[in-house]
Amino acid sequence: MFNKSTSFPLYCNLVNRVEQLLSSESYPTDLSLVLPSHLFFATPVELPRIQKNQLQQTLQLQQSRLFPGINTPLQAQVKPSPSIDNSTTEHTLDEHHVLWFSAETANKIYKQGYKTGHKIKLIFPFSLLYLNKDEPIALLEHGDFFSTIIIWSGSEIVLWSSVAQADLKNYDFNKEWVSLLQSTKESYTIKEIEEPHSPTPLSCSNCATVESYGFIPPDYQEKRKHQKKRWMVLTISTTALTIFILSLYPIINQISRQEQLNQTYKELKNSSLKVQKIRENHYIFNKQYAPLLEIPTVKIKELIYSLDSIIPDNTHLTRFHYKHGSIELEGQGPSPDKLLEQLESFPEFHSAALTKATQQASRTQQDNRFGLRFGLIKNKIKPYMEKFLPSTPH
Amino acid sequence: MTNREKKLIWYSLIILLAYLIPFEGVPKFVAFEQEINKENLTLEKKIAKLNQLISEHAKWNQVNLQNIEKKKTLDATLLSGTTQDLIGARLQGTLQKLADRHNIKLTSIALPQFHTRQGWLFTSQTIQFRSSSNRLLQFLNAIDSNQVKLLITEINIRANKKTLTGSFTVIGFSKD
Repeated sequence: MFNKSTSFPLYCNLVNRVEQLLSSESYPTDLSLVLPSHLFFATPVELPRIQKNQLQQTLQLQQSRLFPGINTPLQAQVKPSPSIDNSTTEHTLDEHHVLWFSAETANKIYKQGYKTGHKIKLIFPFSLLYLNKDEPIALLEHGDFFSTIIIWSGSEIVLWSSVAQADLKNYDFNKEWVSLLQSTKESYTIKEIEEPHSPTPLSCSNCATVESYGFIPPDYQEKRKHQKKRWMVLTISTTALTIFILSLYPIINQISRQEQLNQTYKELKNSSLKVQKIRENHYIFNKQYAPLLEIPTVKIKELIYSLDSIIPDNTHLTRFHYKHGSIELEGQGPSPDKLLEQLESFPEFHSAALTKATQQASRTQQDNRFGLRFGLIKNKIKPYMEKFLPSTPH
Repeated sequence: MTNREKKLIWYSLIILLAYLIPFEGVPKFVAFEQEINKENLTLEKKIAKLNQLISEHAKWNQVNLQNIEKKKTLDATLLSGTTQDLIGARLQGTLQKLADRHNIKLTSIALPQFHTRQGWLFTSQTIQFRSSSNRLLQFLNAIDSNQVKLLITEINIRANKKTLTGSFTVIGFSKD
């Protein structure tokens, strides 16, 4: 299956050794390779399991023949041996069995193979991506009869083992595991055996076996990252677009309302043209005829009658002068001061004042000559004159 | 274009947007919205006014009729004449007629003064008179109630025994 390329000697070395080992007649038929996690790889050959009594032999084999460079392949080697019958060996014959690499090594090998044009079927345990780091042990389901148990520390898998499912349910087996894990002072849990979940389908053509085994290709993580990134960008863009559209909504609403209002305004303006014209004519008329409409009504006759009622009988006027609402009086009488007070107290007049010094009349020594001035309270003629005849002296 | 360059372009675009959106886009957007709101409010007010105007159609029709009538009445109170001399002569004639009617003796009639403003011709006429007080009051009353509108702007009366002498100034109106 593998091309023995010189570009990555470790990989070739492993392939050679495994193939040699597996083709050897002296090779034990019931052997499983228990390796440190950073040195696993894929093989199309069925992976034998280790018998309990062959465990030591297997380890020696691993150390001396398969991976002579690896001094401490395993820390915990206790491997329960599932009972082997014909039915179980038969069903596993066509399966692709996996020796595990660490994710990093697998990626490296995969990329190297890709560069040299080799398509390498390297697969990761699917569940590896979803490992709960708080639990140092997990059960990976990949067959009807056998399951894979992994123990890891941090992100590194420290133990991998294929176990018959029947054993997982066995009380003694569990007890054995518990004591093992306690001895390594690791916290752990053994999960209940669940029905195999259907793995995520992948688009990679090299991953035909992924679904059946629950494994994923080495570039899956990268693709997944890429996909996640794409999803993130898509989500952010969609959110931004939604916010933008939502923020546009009120303004669009206002614009459409403006159009409606404009339409209504035009219609109303057309229908109110006649009334507007009438109103305009009214204003024009008022403005045009203002000099006539605003003429103040000054009744000189009433004014004279009012004065007649105020001025006492013993006082008579010699001059009356009215101009633009201001009145000047000259006359003769015994008490001009009283007259002044009376004029001031009269509601229609204001600002009454003497205009010249009071002089005694020559003929009757009781009378005094006086000059008075006062104004009309409601003097509208002055503003009228200022408005329409500013050129005339006021 | 390398990935690094692409990234740089993206980052600069993000920085540009991060500046443009809050400092340029949003304020302009808000101002635009406020402007539209303001215009809409103005339009609503105009529409309300037009609606009111339409509802007052009958009232304005009546006002129009009243104005037509009023105009006729006011036009009748104007001094008629094509030239200033004619208008002045007509004012003097009117005053003379009123004085004759109330036995007021006009001792002197000054030349009329003309003032034009806002399409109107104001003719100011000063007249000196001699009269008794009763007749003068009747004469002033007649000026107030005369068909041709006259406005008394100045009166100067002197009492000499039972006779009153003096002068008054009236303004007559006509269209220029």
